[in-house]
Amino acid sequence: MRTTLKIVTLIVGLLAGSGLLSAQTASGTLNATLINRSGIAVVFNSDPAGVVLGGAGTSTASLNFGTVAMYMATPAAGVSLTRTASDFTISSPFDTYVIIGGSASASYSLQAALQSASGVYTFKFDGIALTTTSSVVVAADPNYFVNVPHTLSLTVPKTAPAGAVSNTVNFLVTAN
Amino acid sequence: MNRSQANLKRAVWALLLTLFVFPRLAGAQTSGSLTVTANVQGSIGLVFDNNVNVGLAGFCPLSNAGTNNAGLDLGTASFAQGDNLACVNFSRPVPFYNVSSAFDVVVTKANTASASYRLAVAMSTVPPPNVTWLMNALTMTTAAQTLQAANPYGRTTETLRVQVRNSVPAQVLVEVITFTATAN
Repeated sequence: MRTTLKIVTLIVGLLAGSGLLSAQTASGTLNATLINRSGIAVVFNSDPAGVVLGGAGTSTASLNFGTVAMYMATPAAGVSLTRTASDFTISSPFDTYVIIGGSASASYSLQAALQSASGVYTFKFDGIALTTTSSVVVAADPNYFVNVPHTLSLTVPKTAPAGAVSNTVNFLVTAN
Repeated sequence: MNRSQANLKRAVWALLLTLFVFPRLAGAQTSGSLTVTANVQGSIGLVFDNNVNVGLAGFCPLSNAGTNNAGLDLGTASFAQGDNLACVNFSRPVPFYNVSSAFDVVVTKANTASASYRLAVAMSTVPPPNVTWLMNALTMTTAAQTLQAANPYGRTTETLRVQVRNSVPAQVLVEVITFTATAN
């Protein structure tokens, strides 16, 4: 019994000497950083009055007017058709939806350009004829976080041959 | 670090943010693309129009001219007294009488290489006995018949004639005449 008591006393003494039983504190600092950058993004949405976009809700959407003819009786749903003596125009509304963060910008500008030359066809954005040179089609739209309706139209001369027509409108959105 | 050093550090950070971060906010840009496609098909259109001589004898005005759903009033006629409209041509080859009026059919083409079209006509109902409806010299029936086999696109003048025998009871004669143009 006495031997056991000695051993215990020895162990406690060793532990106390090693500092394990002493009351000490430790501290550290974590230096966290976050760079909150400004950001702006645009997506295209189907307009309730227009054709249903392919890839709606993304920034790379498609608008298909379907099969059209100058003297067709009824165009596809969402497509409007007008005629003159020399050509016909099909059009459809679609929506742009611009979001922004990290910025106090109150409005944005919208530039548009055709990806390739339009040839005999005329593409218009809100009545503005598009070319392969980017041009400002909306100077200062204050409507962030809402669907903004626009109209895209395609004019086909009656002398143009039948067949597929395709082009891409590239948009550039810049915070003012 | 004393308080003044801390304030100085904050000021430096604020300056750096102002110089390098905030200017980028106003010019933030993004892009998107919308691909537009359409499949253009050739088509032809047909409208009825007044003839250049409208108002003269034999050229009555159409109602709803310039559309593909027009009307032509040939007035009130009798074997004995002729027609009440001056624009209607009236003749009396006994025992019949004829009333007639000319108008234009305008057929246009778009996005097609077709050089001509075929024009067919048909009546909506079988007329009463001893009443004959003719388009130019063609006696019309309720079946579509070719009026012209290869018209060039543009304006052509057609004449509607109604031949009535004097034994036909008094009545209103009405027909809807369907014109069908088909690209050759």
